[in-house]
Amino acid sequence: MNLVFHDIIPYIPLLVSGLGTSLMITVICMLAGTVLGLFVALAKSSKITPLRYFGNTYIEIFRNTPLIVQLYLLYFGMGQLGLDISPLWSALIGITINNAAYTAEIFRAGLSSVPKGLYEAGSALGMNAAQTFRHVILPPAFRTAFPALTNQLVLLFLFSSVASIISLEELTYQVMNIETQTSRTLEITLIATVLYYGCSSIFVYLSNALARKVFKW
Amino acid sequence: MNIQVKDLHKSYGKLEVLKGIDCEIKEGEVVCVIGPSGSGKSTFLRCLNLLEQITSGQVLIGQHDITNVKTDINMVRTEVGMVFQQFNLFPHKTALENVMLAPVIVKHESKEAARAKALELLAKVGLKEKADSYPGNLSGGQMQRVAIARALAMNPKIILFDEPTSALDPELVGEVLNVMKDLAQEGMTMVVVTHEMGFAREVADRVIFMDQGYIIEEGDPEEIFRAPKNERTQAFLRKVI
Repeated sequence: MNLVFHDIIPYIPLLVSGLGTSLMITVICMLAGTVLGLFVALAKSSKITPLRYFGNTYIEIFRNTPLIVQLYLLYFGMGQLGLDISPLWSALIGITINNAAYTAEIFRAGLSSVPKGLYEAGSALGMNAAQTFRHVILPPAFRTAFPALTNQLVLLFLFSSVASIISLEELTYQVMNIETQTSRTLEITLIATVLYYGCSSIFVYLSNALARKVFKW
Repeated sequence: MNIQVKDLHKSYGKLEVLKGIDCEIKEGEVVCVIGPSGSGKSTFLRCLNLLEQITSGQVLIGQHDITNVKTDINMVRTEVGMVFQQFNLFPHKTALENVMLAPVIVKHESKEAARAKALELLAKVGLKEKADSYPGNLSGGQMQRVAIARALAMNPKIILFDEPTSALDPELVGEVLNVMKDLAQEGMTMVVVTHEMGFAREVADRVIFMDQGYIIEEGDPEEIFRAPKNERTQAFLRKVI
């Protein structure tokens, strides 16, 4: 076995920049997707039929089609219609929308875990529906949802590599780029593995630390 | 503030749970509602603050007709406290925060004022030293006392108790009943659905016996417990006492 990492050294700046892009879209898409997912979850649980229908359809469509196809549609499909969206924006929009379908289901599970008695306690104290939701229901629901959201964060980070096919210069894109130029396939793939693994572990660690800080009860 | 109930009916689909309830609860009165499981007593109580939709009939809380859709029910609920069988404390808030929350967000009291009042109320229910504990670290009796303090923080004119001691270990029942007894002595208007016959007998001004969706008998606790007139009341009391 003969591993030669030396050839890769000149490409380190590309790797760093690719990793930066991957981390950036992960964080942005997770935050945006979580907020969007909460609204989709509320829509799906709504008493208003059209809203419920919308929430349900949203989740079904985006969970039952592959992310790669969704990104193709956004980037190449929209381009064909004359609407040019940059690779970065395509990835940000596509991954956020996709992620929201999953976080919506996570939130629905969290919300349904909150006992009915808590809604009643809020109502009986004169709180309106929005006050009860914000102050009484959401915090315990969020806590229940949190481990699954952490899991979703890691999945999203790994799935963001799909954006390389729409030529977004993120980590996997740069890895393949360097592979083409150096032919050091095993070496660069090992580096990619270590980087993805390391960052995923850091995400889990940070998420657990945040949970300990936020969920004191 | 008094409560007037006129021909109250409540159905779940085809099942009629309340079949025409008429009663009045006067200001300052302590009324205990007793009766077998499934008699409709909890449903009746929950109709008084509209946690259950009323099928027909009228409920007046003071001047407010809560069966009228134009009535702002949230405003009425600030004057009608409720204590639940399962406590329903907010798990993510400390005892103190549980008591403070509604005054701050519903009545827009300042946090300082709400905190001071909450501490006072926790002291009143004997839990000042537990102010910073989360419900998960309290016993059932302590949780229920926090729940009573939480209801009191809104300065209600009436408090509804829905089997407040039924979920408690026997040795913890007394501490909750004592707090309720104090409230009764202070003149709070209370409607208490309960299986604690001793409490009903000692504290209630009036006892209502319900069965199968009707008020079967009501009156002075001594009368009801010593010489119940209706045979269903007699049969029930024979079983529970």
